[in-house]
Amino acid sequence: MASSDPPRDPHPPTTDERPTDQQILDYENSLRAELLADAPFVSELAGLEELEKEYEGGAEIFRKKLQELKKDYPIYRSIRKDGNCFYRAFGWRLAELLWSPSSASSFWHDTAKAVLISTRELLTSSGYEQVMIEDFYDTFLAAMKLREAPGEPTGLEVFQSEYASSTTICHLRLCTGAELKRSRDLYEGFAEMPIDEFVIKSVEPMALEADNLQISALVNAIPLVNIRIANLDTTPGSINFHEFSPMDADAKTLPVITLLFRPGHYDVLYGKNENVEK
Amino acid sequence: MGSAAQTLQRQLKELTKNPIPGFRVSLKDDNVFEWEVGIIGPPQTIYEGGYFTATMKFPNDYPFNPPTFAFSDDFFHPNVYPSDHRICISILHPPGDDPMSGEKAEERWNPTQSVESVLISIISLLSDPNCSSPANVDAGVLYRKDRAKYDAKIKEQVEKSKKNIPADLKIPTKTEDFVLKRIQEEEQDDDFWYDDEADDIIRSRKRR
Repeated sequence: MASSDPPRDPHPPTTDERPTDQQILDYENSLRAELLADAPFVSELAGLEELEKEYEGGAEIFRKKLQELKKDYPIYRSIRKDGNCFYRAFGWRLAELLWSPSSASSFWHDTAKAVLISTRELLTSSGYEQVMIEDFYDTFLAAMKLREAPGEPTGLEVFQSEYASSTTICHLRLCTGAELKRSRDLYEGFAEMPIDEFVIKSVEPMALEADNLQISALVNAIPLVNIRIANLDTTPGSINFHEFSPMDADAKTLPVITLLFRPGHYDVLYGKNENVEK
Repeated sequence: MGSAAQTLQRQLKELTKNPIPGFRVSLKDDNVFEWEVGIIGPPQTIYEGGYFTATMKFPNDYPFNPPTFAFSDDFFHPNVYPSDHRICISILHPPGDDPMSGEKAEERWNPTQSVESVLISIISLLSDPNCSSPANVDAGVLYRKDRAKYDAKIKEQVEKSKKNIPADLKIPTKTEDFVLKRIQEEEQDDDFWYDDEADDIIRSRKRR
C-alpha cells in the first residue's frame, strides 16, 4: 500500500447532489431523442449504393456482400434505429402490400383483411384485456387502411406519426406475445424461461429488438407473408438468408417480405422484380 | 382512437365506473395528464386508518412511457425519495434502463400496464418494501434493523395523514370491505370483461 493518502475527490458526491433516477432517465431519453430526431421512421426509397457508402473504407467482406445483394435487391428503405425496427419494417411492408393496387382484388387481399381483423380475438383469447388493446388494434387497422375514423390518421399518416406508429408497433408486439402464449409448447424450449415471462420481458416492452423467436411467432400470428432476412455479417462466403414461413399456410402462395439484417438492426429490401410504389 | 389523452380519458372512465378498492382517483385541474390519487391505508397493515394523497403524472406518449408517482406529503418509506416524495418502483421504470439493481425485468413498465396495475403494485410495496436499493437509506436501515421503531414512525405518519381524509369518505376498517365490494360490482356489471388469466397476471405481478 502507498503511504500517502489517495487523492481526494474535490467534489465528493452527497446524497443531495445525486440526480434522481427520473432525471437520469430523462437525460438518457433526451440524448436518444436528439440522436434520432432527424431520422425518418421509414425512409424514402434509396438505391443500395447509399448503403455501400456507409461501408466505404470498411471491411472488404461487407462491400463484397453488398455488391452481391445489389444484384437481386437494388432498392431499400432505412428504418429508424430505435429498437422497434423489426416490427416497424414488418408493419410497413405488410401495409405496402395491402395498399398496392395490384393486390386489391386478389384472394390474398381478402384473406389478409380477415386475418388482420381477427387479431383482436387473437389477443383477447390469449388473455389481453379488450379495453387495453382497443386503441392499439384500431390504429393498426387504420394503418392497413382497413378502418377509417374522422380526424384520425390513416395509412401513410400512421407511419409518419410517432404516437400512431408506436401504437401499431405495440399491436404487432401483442400479436407476437399472443401467438407465443397460444402455442407455448412450440416455443418454450427456445425461450430459456417460461413463455409468459419471456413475453413480458422480451416482447411487450417497446424499444426491445426482435430475435428469431419473436420473428417466428409473428409470422405465425399473422400468417400472411414469408420473411426473408439477408444477413450482412462478417462470416466468409456469400451473403446468407434466413427464411421464416407460417406453419399453417401454403407458403408458396404468400408474398415475401425481405429485410436486411445488420447486428441489432433491420431495414427493408426490395427485389428487382417487386412492384415498388413510391 | 389515437392519443395519450384519449387513452387516459378512457382509463379514468373505467376507474370511475369500477373503482379499485382502497383508491380514489380524480383529475388535477381538469388536466388528463395529472391525476390526484388518494390511497386508503390497507386494513391489517401498519397503514390502516391512514389516507395518503399523491400525484400521478403521465407523459405525452403514455402508455409507451411510464407515469411518475409522488406523494403530496413527507412519506417515510425505503422506496420513496425524501426530497420529492417520488416513489421508486420497478414497474414505473422502462426496460433497458437500470436504476434499481437486482430487479427482474418482468416487473418493468410496458404498454400493457395500466393505472390499475401500477396502483396495485404500489399498495403492495407499501407494506413490503424493497430494501435492496432504497431511495431513502435511513428508512431502509431502520426497517431492517429496528422494526419496532420503524413501525412507530409509520404509525405517526398514519396519524398525521388522517387530516387528509375527505369529508365524504368513510374509511373501511375490515379487509372484506376492500375485497368483497369489488366482486359484487363485477357481478352486477354484465359488460365488465373478466378473465382469470389476466387476473393471475395481476396477482403474480403483485407478488413480486
